[in-house]
Amino acid sequence: MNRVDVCWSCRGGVVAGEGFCPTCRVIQPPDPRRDHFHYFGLNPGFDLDLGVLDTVYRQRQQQFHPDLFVSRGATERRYSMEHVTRLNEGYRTLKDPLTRGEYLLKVTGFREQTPENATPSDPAFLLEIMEWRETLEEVDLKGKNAAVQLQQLRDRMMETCDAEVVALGKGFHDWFVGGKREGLAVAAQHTDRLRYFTRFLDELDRKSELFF
Amino acid sequence: MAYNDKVLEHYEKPRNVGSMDKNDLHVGTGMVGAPACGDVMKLQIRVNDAGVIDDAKFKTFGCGSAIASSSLVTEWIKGKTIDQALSIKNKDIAEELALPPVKIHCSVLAEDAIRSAVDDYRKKQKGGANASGA
Repeated sequence: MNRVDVCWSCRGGVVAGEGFCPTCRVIQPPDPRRDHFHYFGLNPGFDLDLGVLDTVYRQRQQQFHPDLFVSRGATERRYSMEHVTRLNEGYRTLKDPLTRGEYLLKVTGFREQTPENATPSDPAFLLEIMEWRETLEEVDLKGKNAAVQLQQLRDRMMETCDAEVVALGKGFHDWFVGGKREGLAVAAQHTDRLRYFTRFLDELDRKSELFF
Repeated sequence: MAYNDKVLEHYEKPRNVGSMDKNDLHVGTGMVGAPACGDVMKLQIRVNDAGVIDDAKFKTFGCGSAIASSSLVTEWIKGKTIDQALSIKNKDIAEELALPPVKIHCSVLAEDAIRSAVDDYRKKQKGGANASGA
C-alpha cells in the first residue's frame, strides 16, 4: 500500500518511498516499510521476470547514483546513498533463487530465520547430500581426470539444483496464486535443500579453482 | 574468523574420521544437518555386548567448528556406556572448544548426532531381537 508523506524539502505531498518529490523534484528517502518487491515495482512471488529486475535496477542506479548528488546538501547525499544501498541489497536478494526463496519465506511470515539445526526429519535427504560430499571428496585432485570429473559432478549438481528451484517455485505458486498455505512449507523444504546443494557447489568450486 | 587452538587442533588432526558398516547390528549411525549453513555430520558408534561404545567414527562436511565438535565427541564417547554418551550436552562441547556464540549450533549438531546414532542403534537392536525371536 502506498502511504502519503510530506516532502522533507518543500513540504509538498509525496508518495512514501517514491524517489523524487513531484513538486520540487528533490530526492526523497527510501521507505523502509516497502519490501524489495514493492521497491522494484514487482509483484511478490517466486517467478520473477529477471529482465525487468535488471532493467529497474540499472535505471535506479542511474537515477540515484551518488555522483549526481556530490554538489547537493548532506541530506540529499545521504538519501542517494540509502537508495543505492537499498537497491543493491534488493537486487542481490531477488536475483538469486536461494536468497529470493529465503526472503519470501520471511515476508510471507512463514519463518523469520532458517533453523540452525534440523530435526532429523529427512534422513534420506541427509544421506543423499552426504553421498554428494563423499563423491566430491573421493575425486583425486592430482589425477589427470580431476578437472573433467569436477565438471561432470558440477553439471549433475546444477541439474539437481534446477529441479529444486522448480519445486520451490511450485510451492510459492501454490501460496501466492492458489492461496494454499501448505505451499509455503513445501517451498521452505526445497529452499533448505537448495541451500545444502549450494554449499556443496561452493566447496566444489573451491576445489576447481586449483585448475585455473 | 580466528579459531581457538583446540578447534584448530581437531580441525588439522581430526580423530576417528571414517565409516563403519551401517548394516552391522552393533553399529548405530547418526545423521544430522544444519539447514542454515548446509553442514552435514555423520556419527557412527559400535556398541559391544556390555553396552559400551568401543568405537566411534565420524564424517563431517562443514566448518572447522563442526568438524572439531564431532571429532571431540568421538573421543569422548569411546569407552562410555550409551547412557553416559547421551549425557554429553552441547554446552560441554562448546565450553571445551571455547566456541563463540555464532558457532554454538555446531556443538548442538554434535549432540544431536550422538542421539541420532543411539536411536539408530536401539532401533536396530529391537528389530534384530524381533527378527531372531520370530
